[in-house]
Amino acid sequence: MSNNRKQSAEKMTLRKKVWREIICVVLDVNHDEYSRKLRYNKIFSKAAFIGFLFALPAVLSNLIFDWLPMLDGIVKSFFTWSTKNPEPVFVGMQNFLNILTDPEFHESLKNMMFFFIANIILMFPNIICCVVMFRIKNSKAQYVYRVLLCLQMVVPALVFTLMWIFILGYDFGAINNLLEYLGFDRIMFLGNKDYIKWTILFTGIPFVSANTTLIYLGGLNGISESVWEAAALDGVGPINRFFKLELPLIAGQLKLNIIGVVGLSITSYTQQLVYYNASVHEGIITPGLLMYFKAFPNAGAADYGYSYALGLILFIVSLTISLIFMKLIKTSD
Amino acid sequence: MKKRKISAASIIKHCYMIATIAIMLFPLYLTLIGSVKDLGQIIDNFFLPTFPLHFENYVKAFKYLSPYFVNTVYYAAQSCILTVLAATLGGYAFSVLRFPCRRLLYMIMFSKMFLPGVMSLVPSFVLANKLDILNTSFAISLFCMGTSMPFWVFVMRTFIESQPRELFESMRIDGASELKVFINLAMPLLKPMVSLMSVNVILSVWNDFIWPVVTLTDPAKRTLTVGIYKLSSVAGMDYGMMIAGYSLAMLPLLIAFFTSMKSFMSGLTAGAIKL
Repeated sequence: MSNNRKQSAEKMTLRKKVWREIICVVLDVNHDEYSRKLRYNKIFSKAAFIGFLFALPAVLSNLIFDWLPMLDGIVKSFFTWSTKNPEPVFVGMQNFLNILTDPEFHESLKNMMFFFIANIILMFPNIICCVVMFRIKNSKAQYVYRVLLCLQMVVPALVFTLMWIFILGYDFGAINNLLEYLGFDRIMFLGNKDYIKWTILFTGIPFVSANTTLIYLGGLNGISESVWEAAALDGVGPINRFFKLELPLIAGQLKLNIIGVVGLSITSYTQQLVYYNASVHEGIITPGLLMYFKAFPNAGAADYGYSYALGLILFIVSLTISLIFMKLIKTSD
Repeated sequence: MKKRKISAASIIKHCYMIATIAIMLFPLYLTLIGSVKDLGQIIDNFFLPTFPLHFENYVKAFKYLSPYFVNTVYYAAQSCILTVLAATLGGYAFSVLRFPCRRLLYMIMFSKMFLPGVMSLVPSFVLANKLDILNTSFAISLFCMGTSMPFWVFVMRTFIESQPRELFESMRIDGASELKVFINLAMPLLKPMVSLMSVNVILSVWNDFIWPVVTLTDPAKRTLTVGIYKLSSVAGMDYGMMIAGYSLAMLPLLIAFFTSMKSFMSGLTAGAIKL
């Protein structure tokens, strides 16, 4: 009996604790102030009102233009509507069924897997670039290289892509002109559905992103000089140093980067959109691009329900994968 | 006299870096030299500079792109002002001031930073359509403001919290109003943060592609990036003008980069941390 009473007393305190936490968070008071008498005229004072006013633009814009579309995206995935019948009709899981049975979606998954695997493999040039840059002890030269790498982030990515279209085009492209001059046949880099994926990959040459290099470099620069000195004294060669020291030391950044690469491979489609033309549809369509074209089709009516539901699928998949990776990082650290 | 030792290993390292950067910037080199060629020169010799230089390409491209240029500057400036104001005010409020629901609101905002943005494109478009701000500058600036709040309020808040609290207290005890404390004390303190934030916001608006394509369907409202994307339809066979157009889209940013390298570099590095 007494045990029972004790339990219920504990429950009461737990409930009280939760209640206290809620009140403290909502009214923005600390435990100390809570245990004394709450002074409402201070909590809802003019100063508090001004504070609220200061935070309002940030909070309101974030809620309306960031949170609201996301919540709308989740809820309306279970509805269907069109420009002709703008009133949303609840259809349950129908949108998701449509997607999962759509052959175009299956096609797009294959392309996504291609970019996914390729992007993981292509992380290595980036790591090598960073290690080489780190090993250049001349800090002036290192700075110059860093500035030049950053140019890539300043120039619109679209300029790079459009220039590549110029270089690789079928009947005007410089490389094809060169091939013809040398006596070879012209190659449809941009118009062949089997080549287009490889073309898009290739235009990423030299597969070094300034952003990622800076992240790795930050990791290596944070390591104490004595580590490298000890390694030099032990006679660790340059290749051994890479595998035994540098690579393990940036493992944290590497994992972070994997999350980024995975997320991008699943969700980004800007490049595919710029390279898109009807003749390569099969080879270029990814789930992200499919979502885009269902809402903003080149011809015909938009299928918003499909697009919303596909967006939700991509959202859940990329969120799950990044959570899994976060977990992996935590456990191995 | 100290003689610099140049080892074989260091030559290899420098060669590797130079080769990597040369390949990376090769398309930019082609853009710059291609922008002053006429059609014959482009077809005959694409990879090397040729003479005479055809600067009229730039005149023609600018004639077509100038309204987009004005648009982009306007959108970028508006986004920048709104975002910086909201983020600094928010960062100040969340760090120094106290008001009901402060922590709750901050948590809500902050947690959005970790959620993927992929599904927001179409609902955002639908929202912009409902608010009737398609084809206006607000379609760009308000969404830029809303989505960049989580990260930048976090940055501003962390920065203000690293400053001694007595600074703010003493000024308040002297009877200054919150607004005065914010303008005369917090803003000057936040100046370096504001400059790198501006670089980040302006670059993202300038270089953004899909969002302006979707929301600014009226040809007169286009941004520069969308303008050069649609350039091939007006240029026809005038490839020199097209390439000059590409060059025009990147030159302002390149010039800004080289004239204020320091704030640009720190702004870009902040973007790296963002990931």
